[in-house]
Amino acid sequence: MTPFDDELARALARVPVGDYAPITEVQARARQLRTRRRLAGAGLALAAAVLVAVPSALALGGDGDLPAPAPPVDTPSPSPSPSPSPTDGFVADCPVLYGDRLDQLRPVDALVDVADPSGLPAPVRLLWDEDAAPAPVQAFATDNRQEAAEVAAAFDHCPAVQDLSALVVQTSDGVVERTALIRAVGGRAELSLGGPEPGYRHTLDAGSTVIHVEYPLEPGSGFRAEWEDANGMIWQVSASTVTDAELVELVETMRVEDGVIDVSRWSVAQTGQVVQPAGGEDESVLIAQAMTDADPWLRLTVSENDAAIWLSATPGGRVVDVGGATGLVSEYDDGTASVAWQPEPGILAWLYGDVGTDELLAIAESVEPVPADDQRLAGVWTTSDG
Amino acid sequence: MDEDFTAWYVALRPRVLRAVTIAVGDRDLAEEATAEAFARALARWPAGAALDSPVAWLLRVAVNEVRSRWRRGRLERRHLQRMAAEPERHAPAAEPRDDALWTAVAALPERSRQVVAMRYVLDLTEPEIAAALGITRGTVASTLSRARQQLATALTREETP
Repeated sequence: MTPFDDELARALARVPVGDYAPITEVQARARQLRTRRRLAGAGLALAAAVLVAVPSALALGGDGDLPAPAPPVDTPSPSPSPSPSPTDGFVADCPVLYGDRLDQLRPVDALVDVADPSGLPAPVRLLWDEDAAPAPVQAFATDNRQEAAEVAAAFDHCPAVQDLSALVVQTSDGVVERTALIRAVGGRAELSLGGPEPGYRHTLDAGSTVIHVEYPLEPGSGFRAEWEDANGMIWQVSASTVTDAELVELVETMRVEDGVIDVSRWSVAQTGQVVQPAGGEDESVLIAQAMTDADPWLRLTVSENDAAIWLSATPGGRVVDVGGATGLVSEYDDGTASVAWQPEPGILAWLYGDVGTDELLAIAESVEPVPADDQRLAGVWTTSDG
Repeated sequence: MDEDFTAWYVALRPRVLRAVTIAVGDRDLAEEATAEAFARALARWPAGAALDSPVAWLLRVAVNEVRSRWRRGRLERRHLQRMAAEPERHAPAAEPRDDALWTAVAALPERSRQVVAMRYVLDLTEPEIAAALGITRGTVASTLSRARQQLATALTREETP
């Protein structure tokens, strides 16, 4: 090691880290993994969701030890249930979400670094004007189209990846008051939130459905809730503020028709804007990032997808105009702010920095496509291979 | 059995958690993924104790877990991007936005973070890193070289009054 290496190692040893998980949680999760592996080996993984009442102590989905993709499934869809069962047609052996399909294929590592800015289509190759902010110190992009193609080929016997999601946003005078994102997360054979824990977890009954609710330990961070419908589909809601009664009402009134969530009977949706699908599981996207390191600290993320700007909405966010496009500004307690907008259909831009919103908006408005040989990008372009 | 694992867990977790934190660039994710990796080791116990390089194995499992979660969909990915972009919102006590080195580490490409974690936290050699990641020694060397350049500026800034 050189003196610099020693210095770097010492500095990294001072980087603050989080807390260790209690050994009891690790042991509980290990028991759960052993049980799931045994049952998965016997082809009973999904049944384990019902039979094994071991809470997921670590709140992580998927153990990575799932069997290889199932052969073509010819079995009919599960029969409808009288209880809230919005996912008729859900085929348990075909994961709903892209990520769950990828899990079953592991190891697959086909995420591709874009070699240089010329690998980006012009609508994604965006940067702020050189007079608006300093040049970035680093830029890179990833392309997961190859990975998506491999996943699609492996599951060509399954229905297409579904995007069962809906985002409800309530605003008043252009200011976001609360949000709720509802989405199907697939049949993962277990609820990630597990059973109740005094203080920040509890359960609610919605007819025959049990809703598991978890409040993060950090106040004001909203909450997550999960439930499993009669067909084994697990649904998740993440929201800023929704009362228990509203949550029960959602589960009791929500339906899916023709692959679209219908929340029109939910009182919260009736007084808000519903965006759906909220942002999907089509993984054929490019993501590019450019960032400065100071004065101001900025990060511009541009992705090739149709997701709505509302996905970045948090209470207090404001609707603004960004060069003629609708944008959403969010300010944070630490003095930083972000703005999300769609510079053109199918492209989502998100600028985050430690500047005030006026300056951030001015920088955002200057963002536009740049040539592939723009040295502000090409000169700092980075790939994993160096 | 559990007593053996407990001692193993207590002995290894400081290095593993730090390595995963560097490799992932997010403290909360690192906490969860590290715990998950140890749980998987226990689920296979005592095979985990016989691993040639248990810390490298644990790091790889944890990083794969985070990668899997990261790829679960655009919604979650965007959320994680936001979190990566504003790490101070995850760890209010650490004030990492003022920590130039942490910011620089979080901004490194994924593979660079893994290689840095393995080299400087786990103290693995370049051949060991190459074997653990399934890449060539040349790639390890070039990745390390570039990461060192990228972190050097931050390190200098951090130590400048």
